[in-house]
Amino acid sequence: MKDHDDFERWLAEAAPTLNAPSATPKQEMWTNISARLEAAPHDLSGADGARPRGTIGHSKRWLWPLAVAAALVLGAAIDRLVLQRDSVIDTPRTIANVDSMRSDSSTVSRKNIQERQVVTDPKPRPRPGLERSAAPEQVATNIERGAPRGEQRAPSAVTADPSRVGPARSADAGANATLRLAATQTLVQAEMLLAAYRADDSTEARQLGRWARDVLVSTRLLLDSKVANDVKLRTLLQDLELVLMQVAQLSGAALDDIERDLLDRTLKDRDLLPRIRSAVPTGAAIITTTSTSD
Amino acid sequence: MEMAQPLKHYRHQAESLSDERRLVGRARAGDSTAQRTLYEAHVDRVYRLAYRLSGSEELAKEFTQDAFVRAFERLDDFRGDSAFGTWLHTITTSVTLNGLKKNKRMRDREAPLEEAITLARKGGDDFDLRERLARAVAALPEGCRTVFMMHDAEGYTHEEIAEALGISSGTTKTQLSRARAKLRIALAAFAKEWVR
Repeated sequence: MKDHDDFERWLAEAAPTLNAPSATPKQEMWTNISARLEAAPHDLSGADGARPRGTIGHSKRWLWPLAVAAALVLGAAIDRLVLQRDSVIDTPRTIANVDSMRSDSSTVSRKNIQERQVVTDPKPRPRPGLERSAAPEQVATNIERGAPRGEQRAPSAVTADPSRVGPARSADAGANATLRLAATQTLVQAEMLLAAYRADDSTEARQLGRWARDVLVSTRLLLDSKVANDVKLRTLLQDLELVLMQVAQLSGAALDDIERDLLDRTLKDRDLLPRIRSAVPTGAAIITTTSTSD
Repeated sequence: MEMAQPLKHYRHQAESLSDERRLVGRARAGDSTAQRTLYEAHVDRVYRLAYRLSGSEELAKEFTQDAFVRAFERLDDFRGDSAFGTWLHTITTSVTLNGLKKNKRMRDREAPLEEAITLARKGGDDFDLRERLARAVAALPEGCRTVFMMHDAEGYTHEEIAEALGISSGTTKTQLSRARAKLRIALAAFAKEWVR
């Protein structure tokens, strides 16, 4: 207890010496305070002696509405960007839908479809032989969905909004459709080439190499085109390019075992042939046949 | 005759209070003379409190200036329920404690330098013990440290501390007891020295 009292007494003496302040620098501090107060005179008193208001309070009051407004503007901008991108991507699909509806659906009148087509598809229609068979736009759709070959997309409602499709976008859509047609043809060629290779006709090695070089040129051109923006199609074309390069190097009269082994392994690893088949829409082979016979 | 002194004292207090309210009213209207008068009347205590809590002259000056600027900017919030000094000390403790939180990292970095200066200035037989005390106080929880410094070092009453910190006087008493108990434990090794 005595010890406790001693401590309390000692503490009472020692505490005032802790952080003992020196003389107050009054003038120096007042100079700074008055300078700060003068810097914001309107905060202390209004001309009419009204209640002074702190600048901090003012700015905070506007902070939330400003933040909300900024968020709205940003949201609208993002929405516009997304809509623009969607309309460019959606336009070719709409054309494909119209095509499939024309051939399959009996409930939609032909006149109605043609009216919509005028708006959504300003490019010249493909040749009659091609029109009915392969929809090149469907290549991308099949790749996206991973649909097996021969599986036809169910006709969906035509959602084209004429106000959203301008002449520039229509021209873009036309170019895209052409590129997709070229992609389809290249993939069909590749499929036929690979099928011929797997037929195990060893005497055709040199011919296969020549054929592969032709397809390789198309593949590389496609990889440099807008079609390559489609990630899945680009990956498929890149894998195809690799295989085609291997086939193109075949120069001997007969297929070497090592070369064949390498090729087989690549084909198996990349699962190339099934991917090409699922990417190529039904009837694409007919296009090639028709176009070659023309 | 004995009753005359307290009456005079209360009258003087009332006059002071009335003068203070007038001063506050003028300061609110932007009268710089009134502001200066209020400043002169309270700056010493405000500065001392800021210095005690911060332990740094530079910080004490900064916090004192901030406290006065904020007080003059917010004079409308002062309703006159308490004395201007009490209201000002509430602002001072708030500004100082918030400022210390912001400057904590900086203070930690500067601690060795401050310590060196303090060591050079101080001396005496119980130098180690006082140094230990300073460190032990610095290590106290914020609430305990603030109450301890305000009460034991600066001489504020529990009511004043309670009003400045916005807590009950019972809480300040508890915190002061805790602070002293912790200091006692922290300085137990030096028990012989405080008995001397």
